[in-house]
Amino acid sequence: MGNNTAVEVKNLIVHYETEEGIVEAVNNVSFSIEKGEVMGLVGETGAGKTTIALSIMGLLPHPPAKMYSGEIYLDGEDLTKKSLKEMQKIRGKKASMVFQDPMTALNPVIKVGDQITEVIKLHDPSLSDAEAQKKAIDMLEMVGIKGDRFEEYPHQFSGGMKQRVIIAIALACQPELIIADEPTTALDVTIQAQVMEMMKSLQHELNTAMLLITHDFGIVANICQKCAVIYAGEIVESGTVAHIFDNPMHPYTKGLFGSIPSLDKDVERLTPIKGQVVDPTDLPEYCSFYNRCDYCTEKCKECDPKLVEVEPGHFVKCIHVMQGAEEG
Amino acid sequence: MALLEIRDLKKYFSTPRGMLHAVDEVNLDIEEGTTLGVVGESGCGKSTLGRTVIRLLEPTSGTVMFDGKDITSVTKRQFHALSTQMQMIFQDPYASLDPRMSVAELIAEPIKVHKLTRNRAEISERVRDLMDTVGLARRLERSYPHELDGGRRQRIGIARALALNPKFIVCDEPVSALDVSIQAQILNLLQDLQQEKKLTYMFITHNLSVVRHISNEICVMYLGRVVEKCEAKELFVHPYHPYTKALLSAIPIPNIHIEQKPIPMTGELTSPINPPNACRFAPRCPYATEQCRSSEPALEEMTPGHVVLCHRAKELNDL
Repeated sequence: MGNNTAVEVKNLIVHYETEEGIVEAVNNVSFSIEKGEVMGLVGETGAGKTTIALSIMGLLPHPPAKMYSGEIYLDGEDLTKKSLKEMQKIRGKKASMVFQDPMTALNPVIKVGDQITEVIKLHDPSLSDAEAQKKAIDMLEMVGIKGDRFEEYPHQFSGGMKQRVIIAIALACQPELIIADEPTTALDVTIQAQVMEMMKSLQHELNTAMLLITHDFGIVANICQKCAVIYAGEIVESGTVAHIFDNPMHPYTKGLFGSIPSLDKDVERLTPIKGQVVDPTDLPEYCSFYNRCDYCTEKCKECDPKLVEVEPGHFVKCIHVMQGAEEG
Repeated sequence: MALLEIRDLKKYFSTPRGMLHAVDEVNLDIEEGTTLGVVGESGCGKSTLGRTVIRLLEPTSGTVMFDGKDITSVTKRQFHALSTQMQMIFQDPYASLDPRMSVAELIAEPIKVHKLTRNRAEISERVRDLMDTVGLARRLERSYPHELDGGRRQRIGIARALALNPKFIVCDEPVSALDVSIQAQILNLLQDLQQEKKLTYMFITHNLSVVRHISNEICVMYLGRVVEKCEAKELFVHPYHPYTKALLSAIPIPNIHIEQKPIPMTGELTSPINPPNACRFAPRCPYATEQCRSSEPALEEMTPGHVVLCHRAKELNDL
């Protein structure tokens, strides 16, 4: 692990044991994010994006969730070995999370200022009430809300403002890692643009590493340096944004791009990915994208392909790419 | 003659604080076999417009002519017969289907309600036809909505809308709850059905790239008013209203070689309750003048077929 690495996830496997069977949510996922870097994690519903986020935060619901393997290094320490108490000290301090729905993430009966102060006091009990409050007001102003709204309740804020408050809470202790799980999905585009601009500049200013979970390639293009595409709990392609946008190689990544209607090109018909997402309780032994892939052959059923580095930093999990690489 | 002619349509809601102008003086024509896209942000009145047009909500005033008949003045009983011609596809395929009905029952429901036939064999044949049309496997006939994913549920919603052979369908955010790969499947299905059955759509969405893809014409709404309307592609090449420009600049584009600069919008949103006699966008508009704050603009044609609701549109766009 390099000196500059903020977080590293290695061989993460998480399954949910339910009455209907074992849901193989995350299957051997590895990645790392440098300090000051933003990595986009793109995938569809049920791909395992949120499970990865919850694993890092130590918030997986046990049961039904079970982590079969995996090491998660934050600041050189393996989070999977931490006790519940130790994790409480890390959450909000070293790693914090911004949730999707700003309407439900805040407590409706506590003043927003107090909700920010709570995090600050919890992680730095030596601060006096007045000092913590002052810091909370600074945080509010940093996310573009006037400090005099400190005493107001969440219902007095619009959706975009609430998400700013949540971001203020997440940043209050200057964490090394922020996980943003679809932070702008519930917002209108103009508000989304404002919130994204703000997150971009704050992340840059504080040199925080960020894992941005989204299904929108537009947002990835706008803010991320790296990107991983996830399907059925596996990273099928990862690389810099230049790799993913200019030279997508996995059929699933290509399929996602073909599904987005363009804003400047005229396309008569979209080219969707056929079929439905594979059932995570019944994953095949071979490539899990097989039944939806336009390029599948008998060879694809022979083995589960490995992630292959096709050019420095660009990884693809597809047997055709793997064979191409072996043949040079 | 257009299939649908909407004239001075208003829908106000009475609230404790005053009248909420959800839809205000909307005039629109939709030609048969075409799609009119309606875009805008939450609270702009686009869903209320869709519902008022097919009289799920009673309009406050104004008329809607459908196929030459004024549907706002007919009695409820007469409207019931007309309503087979106008159907709706709802946004949330999780909330709009009765969880205790099977797929076949859900699709048969409109046929039974409108008593198209009482013959059971005919009904189940019609249900199977509809399932084929929307791409639902016949083995799913006895499944319940909770067993199906969002894409399949939305196909049920589409089958229900098609069950009565309508001419006109209001699609209210039909793909917003779906993943992109499934979204593309449903958009293609809607386009195929339109060609096959000469359907006319009003397509309501907040997603600008989707609306560009599927529409012939687009109207942009802001706080109950249509602020700009023109041919679909034209809107993206020549947006004239300052709000349209800000909206377009805010869309994240999936291309790393384009530097994106969203036009910032500051200022308070005008309240839709008893709005003042002024341009409703003025408080957030970077070009607002005294005139904008003291009188409401009227829709004006900039170029043929391209109308804009802005006092300064001509001057700001060198027209």
